[in-house]
Amino acid sequence: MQIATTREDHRIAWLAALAIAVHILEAAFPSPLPGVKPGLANVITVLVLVLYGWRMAAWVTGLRVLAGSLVIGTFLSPTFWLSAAGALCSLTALGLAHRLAGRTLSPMGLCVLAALAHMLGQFLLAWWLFIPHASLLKLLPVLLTFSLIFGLVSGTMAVLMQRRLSPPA
Amino acid sequence: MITRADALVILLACGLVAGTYAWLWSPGAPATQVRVISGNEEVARLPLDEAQQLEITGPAGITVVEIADGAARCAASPGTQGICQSAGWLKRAGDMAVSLPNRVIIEVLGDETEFDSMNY
Amino acid sequence: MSRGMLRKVTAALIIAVATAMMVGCERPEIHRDRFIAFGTIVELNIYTADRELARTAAETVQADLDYMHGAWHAWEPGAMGRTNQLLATGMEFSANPSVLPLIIEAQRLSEATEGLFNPALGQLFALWGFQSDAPQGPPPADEEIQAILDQDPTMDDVHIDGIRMRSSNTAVRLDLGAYAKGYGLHQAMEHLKELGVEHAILNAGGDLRAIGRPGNRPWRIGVRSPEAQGVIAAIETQGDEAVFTSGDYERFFMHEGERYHHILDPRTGHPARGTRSVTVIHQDAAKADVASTALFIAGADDWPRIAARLGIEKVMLIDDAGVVYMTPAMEKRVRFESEPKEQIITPLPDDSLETASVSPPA
Repeated sequence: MQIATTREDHRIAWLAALAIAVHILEAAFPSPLPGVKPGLANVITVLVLVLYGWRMAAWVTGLRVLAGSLVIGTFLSPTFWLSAAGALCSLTALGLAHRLAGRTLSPMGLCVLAALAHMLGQFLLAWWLFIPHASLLKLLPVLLTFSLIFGLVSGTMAVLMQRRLSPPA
Repeated sequence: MITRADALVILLACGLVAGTYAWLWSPGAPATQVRVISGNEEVARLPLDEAQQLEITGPAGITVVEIADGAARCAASPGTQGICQSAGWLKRAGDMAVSLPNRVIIEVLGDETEFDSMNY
Repeated sequence: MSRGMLRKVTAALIIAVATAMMVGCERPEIHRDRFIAFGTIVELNIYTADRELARTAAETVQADLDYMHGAWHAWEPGAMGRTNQLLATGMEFSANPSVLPLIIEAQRLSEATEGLFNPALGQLFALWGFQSDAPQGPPPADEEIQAILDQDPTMDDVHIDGIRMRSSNTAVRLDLGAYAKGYGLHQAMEHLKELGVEHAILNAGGDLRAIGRPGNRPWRIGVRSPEAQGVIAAIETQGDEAVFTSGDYERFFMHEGERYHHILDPRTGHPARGTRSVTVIHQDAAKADVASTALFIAGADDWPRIAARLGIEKVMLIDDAGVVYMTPAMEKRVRFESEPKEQIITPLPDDSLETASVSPPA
């Protein structure tokens, strides 16, 4: 049996595969602080958003979170839910920003926004669901600092990659 | 290239991060407050790290609340047995001094209490 | 970039942050209120996500307790005060419906405690001055105490027929101090349940009734040590329970170096000696209140018999040497913060527990 696929489906599949690869690669590296990861998969989400629109970015991210967790073996574990909450929050922020600001925001701004939203989403879920403890709140500024830095790093990467990908106008 | 909107987003992001530091890392903010209730109304909520004295006028007279060295106490109260004063210096979350005749409650606020309620 | 864009980006950020914060606010939390009512400090802990419910509940409890305190106080011009005036006449009268159920129940409990809980001795409590917020002493003269004891007012002297009431002993004055708080906590908590409160602790002057649990852990209660400030033991409540303690440190005055506390032994007319505190866990707050007082008076030798008669299974008594006596059921529920000097586990006499639980023929 064969399911008819469109060009778009193929593109989603390729980009998702790329995002999953980055996701897994990142998971393999030890993290200095629990909850702190460079979030390089965000680069792909943002690029897809800029090049193909939000719907596509949502597909790629959704598949990345799902398939990535299946491969690493964290599906439906707390890690998975945190990852999903972060992705959902970051997609919402990206969607709003993209809709409101359009082309005036470059991948740099989008990456920073995505990184912060991702961390905020994760943190709120962790706080709400797992450990509503006052000392956890003390961690939030540190976590946000890291996500700001990583947002800037991944933003730089995204800007450079975008220049390679898109033909000069 | 970085656009002006990018710059704005980065600026706001920096502001947010700085804001969380100011909000959550300000020296021991939430756990070191004392609340004074008089006649079932909250009349004062004070930080424990600023030495000061407060006089509360109740139905029986004046209750003096003293704050010093990160603790609060009932320094004087019209009750004849000094029950309010005998609670001593209050510093841990949940510590409390009460003047029944003057209807004053002095309590240290905070989340980190070991027990939900005390039985005595 | 246009100014409109700027606004839109800012708006988007604000919306994102605000949404995140609102999600955070819906988490249920413990709302704690403290106020003075029932002549003591009252603390209400409610675990709910509904801020408005917590506020309404606190106001309701305060109003309820204030009403009950006025109605049931032996010496204030409320329903109980009026009842006492009428009892003193020895004539028959129509009882006030707000106090009648209390009196009937108190009568039953007085009998079950073999008279150790004797609320008919209101004159004795007044003589000692323990009805006031700040009892001062000195202790009354022995002749005055003996004069009241000689008249021997008991709950048997109060005759109730329907709503008609009469005392065959004009010395009877009802002071339900050791019982009204428990009954009041029971009623106030029932009211809270009707409002939709499911998880709460209502604590009046150290005695409490708890329902539900705050999230996925039980309510944790600290039992204060009778020796000094500090906690002697921790109790985790299970479902709907009351925890009551009677201690000699709660209300007392010092006179010539001796401590006179408020738990009077109706047999001697003086503060009961030998016990420092009694803690009781029971479903019925009113009964727990009476039991903690009566078992305090009963002391280390007699408490198991009285507890069995009352149908109270979880008791902890600390005597003036610091020895801790407990029922096996209580031992399972307390966790000591500091190990007591000596622990004695005493099972309740079985046969009397059975007779107590058999309800009398109607």
